[in-house]
Amino acid sequence: MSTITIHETQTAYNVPFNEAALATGPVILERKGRRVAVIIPADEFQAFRLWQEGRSWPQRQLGRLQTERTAFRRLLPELLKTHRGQFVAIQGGDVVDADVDESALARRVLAQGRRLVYIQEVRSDPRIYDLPSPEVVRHVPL
Amino acid sequence: MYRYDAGEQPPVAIVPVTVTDPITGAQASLSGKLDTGAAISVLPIATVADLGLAPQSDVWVAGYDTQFVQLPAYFVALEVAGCTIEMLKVTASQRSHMLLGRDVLSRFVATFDGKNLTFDLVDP
Repeated sequence: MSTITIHETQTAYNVPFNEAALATGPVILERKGRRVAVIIPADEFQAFRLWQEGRSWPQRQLGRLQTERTAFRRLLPELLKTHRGQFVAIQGGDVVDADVDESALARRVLAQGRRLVYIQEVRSDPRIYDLPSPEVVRHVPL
Repeated sequence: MYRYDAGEQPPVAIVPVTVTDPITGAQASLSGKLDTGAAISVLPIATVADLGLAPQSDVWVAGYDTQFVQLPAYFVALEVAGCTIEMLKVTASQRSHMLLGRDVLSRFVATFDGKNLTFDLVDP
């Protein structure tokens, strides 16, 4: 990593930057002793953007289900009495179908073209799936 | 009989898979990495975007560090090793291959010959 001190000129900052310096790591730009920016290779920046996008993506996807997920949580106490151990399909805030077989339920509701539907198992604690296989991915297009 | 992909080290058991959106019929072909450690199969985010899949469920998953995270889940059809799974719940994350977890592998007889870098996946 290296540091470049930038100087204000009449028109713009003057950055005496040599691209080869990136080979040793990020280049920090300082002005008046204060860090103002960091230069990294463009492909690393792209990888960072993708990583950033990947981190926020699940929350954006879950947000699309928010209305039906909220309805499920509201209905859950009653569903535990009537549908415990079954899977229910929630749409428009109500249970539209239920089955002990999740795949059969999904086949039925999706065959009806119900794209905006939330399917969940009726149980007091959520099921936890083991997924111990992380993958460090760089430069994967979204 | 399949060959391990030696492009990764150690070599990895990968099979071609086809994922279909059951509503639109849109399909994507990709590579599936066999993962007996995964309780649920995982699509790459890029495939979810390519197919325009809408989330229809959510799952809690525990990673290698035992941290829990909630992820969206999707229902898809899957073709793998000559077998069609009409409806499978999968989740998604940023990765290059699909992960074929135990929810898929338990439908097959899987035989691994690591010494010769071959494996087989047969629907009995």
